[in-house]
Amino acid sequence: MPQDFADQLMEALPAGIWAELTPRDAGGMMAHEGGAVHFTARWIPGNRPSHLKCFPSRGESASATAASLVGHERLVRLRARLERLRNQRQPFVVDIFAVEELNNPPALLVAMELVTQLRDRPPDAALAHQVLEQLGTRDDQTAWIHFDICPKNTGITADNRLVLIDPDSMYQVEGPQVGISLPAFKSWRLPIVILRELQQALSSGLGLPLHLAQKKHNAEVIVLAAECCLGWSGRPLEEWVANSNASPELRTFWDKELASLLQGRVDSPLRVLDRLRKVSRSTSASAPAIAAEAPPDDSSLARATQWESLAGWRRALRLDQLRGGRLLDYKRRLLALAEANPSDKRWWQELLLVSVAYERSPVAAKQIVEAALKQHPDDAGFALERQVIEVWLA
Amino acid sequence: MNPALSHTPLGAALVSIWAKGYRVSNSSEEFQLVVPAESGGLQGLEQTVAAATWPAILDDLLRGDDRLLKDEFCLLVNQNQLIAVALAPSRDRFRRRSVVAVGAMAACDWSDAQLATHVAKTRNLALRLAQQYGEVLAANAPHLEKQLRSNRFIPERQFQVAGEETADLSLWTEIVAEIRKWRGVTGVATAGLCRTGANVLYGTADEMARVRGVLTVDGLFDSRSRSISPIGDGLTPWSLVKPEEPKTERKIPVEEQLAALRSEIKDIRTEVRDMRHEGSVLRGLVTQVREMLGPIYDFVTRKDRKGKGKG
Repeated sequence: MPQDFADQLMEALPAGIWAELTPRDAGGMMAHEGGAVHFTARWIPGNRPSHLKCFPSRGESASATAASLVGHERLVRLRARLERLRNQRQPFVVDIFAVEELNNPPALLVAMELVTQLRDRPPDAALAHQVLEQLGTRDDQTAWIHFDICPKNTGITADNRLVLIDPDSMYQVEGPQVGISLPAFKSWRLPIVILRELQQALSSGLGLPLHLAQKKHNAEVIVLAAECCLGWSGRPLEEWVANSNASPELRTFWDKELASLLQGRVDSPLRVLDRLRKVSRSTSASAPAIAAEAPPDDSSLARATQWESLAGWRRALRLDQLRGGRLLDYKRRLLALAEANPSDKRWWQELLLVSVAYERSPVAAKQIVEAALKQHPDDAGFALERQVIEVWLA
Repeated sequence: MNPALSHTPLGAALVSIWAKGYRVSNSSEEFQLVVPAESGGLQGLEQTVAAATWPAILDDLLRGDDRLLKDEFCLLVNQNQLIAVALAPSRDRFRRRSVVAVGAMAACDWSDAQLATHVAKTRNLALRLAQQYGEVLAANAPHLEKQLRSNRFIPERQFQVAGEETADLSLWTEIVAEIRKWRGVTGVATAGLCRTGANVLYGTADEMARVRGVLTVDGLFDSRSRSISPIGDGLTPWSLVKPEEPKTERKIPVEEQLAALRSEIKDIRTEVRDMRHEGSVLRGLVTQVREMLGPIYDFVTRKDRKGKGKG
């Protein structure tokens, strides 16, 4: 986090409106040096805990790529988009308290309701129903599409509502194209088939065709619902599905659903919900969703490799328990294993996750994605990842 | 109505803050208006509160317990405005005990049946803000004074009241009902805040006896009986101010009254005769129906008896 910018903001934000300002390490692509900074605060007028996201505005001296990320013109467009979103009050989007342009330091402030991110909660099969029912796309013309649905960008409010957060990732459907200004999302959460379609469409620079934006949105919703049952995933989708250790009924159900998704067939989340309800009715409601303590069966024993030996590290990483020296230690282990098994994509994907989401170092991420692409030049996921990292690096 | 407040939507309030330890509107750090930074920005009843003898008020308040500050209140009213003043403890820059006072002024419509709810919410806003600003100002961050001096502490003084809790609604319902009864009420306040412009003391008869030499009040809102008792001539019941005209009935001559009675008796006779006629018509109808149903009834009962015999 750029400390100077954060300090300037602490002085600039009206103390009679925002109390108990506390800088927050939110992670994610925009939280790197030069990007957005986050605070938690109490919003005094409404007496509600809030999450503040501040985008520093880069002046005319900014490079073209930096301008595309946090340039003044982009922030003006972003402000207009966020104000529209706030005024339309979407039921499954976090409450936005304020969208304000600050002069000193020049920045865009977005204040929203403070929620508990799904990634900070244990997976919960009951949530899968809510996710499928509430977050799927709708056909009306004023619908909004979230471009990065994941456990980090979905939260539960104090009154137990499921909402999408990170509102700057939301785009309104306006005609046959959706104007995606910053195509930032977690590529490992999507099947390769859909990634290829996206890569092709985004490279035209004309926005994203509505059907494809809806397809991506719904695919991410289905994957999120699966995670609610199977456990949070940072791994490539294909491997996660193969290695899931959920209860037999849910594993069978999601194996089938996700196998279909992996082939690029994205069903409506509501139809997936109907099928999930049938499975849920046939199993005991009180049965735990995740068979965490179940003894490993023969097939999983066969899969027990070096990858499995680092399961504890992966879990600790996702629970944000790896910091400083421990994070570096984990990265060193991953690098050693990636060098020893360069053809195994999992090591590269895990390394990318560490660099992007936890180290938040675009330089390190660029090195890793380049190394991964040397080994897997045709991988659409890595190629798209490189594209996003280059924008970030700029 | 004050022009600025008339633009304030119903359900919104203008907030003003008094505190100690910051050089804002004056060059001293004494207790003073800090929001808005200049008293010229105050309107209507806010000016009444600003004109209070705050040093004397503070002397009394600081002698008491901080925990009791939240129970102090002042509600000033006029034809179309109300202001709720609340207190909370704070600290000045030398960490000495201090007090923050917050006024929340809102539009007020005396014909509104929900006025008590509006008052309760406005009071809650004032108290909540006093408590939160007490903590914010006690933190004494270096940039606070700069923000206060440049009116950036609260860029917009208008706060929404609608979302506030309605704490102590029954009390405010009774206070509003009592104010409605008496002409001359400028406000109701506890002893600590009575000098901010209220002329009705909220408390007990004992409290009244204790403060009588110090405060000039026109009435007591007895916290036990929950009603206002006037003291002196300052308050007059609205019903005495506009006594209703007694209704006078026109004298009707005896002959006219007798004629009217006869006419009524005649009408009643006619109605009784009509009812008798309708009764006989109904009886005739019942007889006809009975005659029609008789054979059917006989047939059914015969069949029924035969059936039972077989069984």
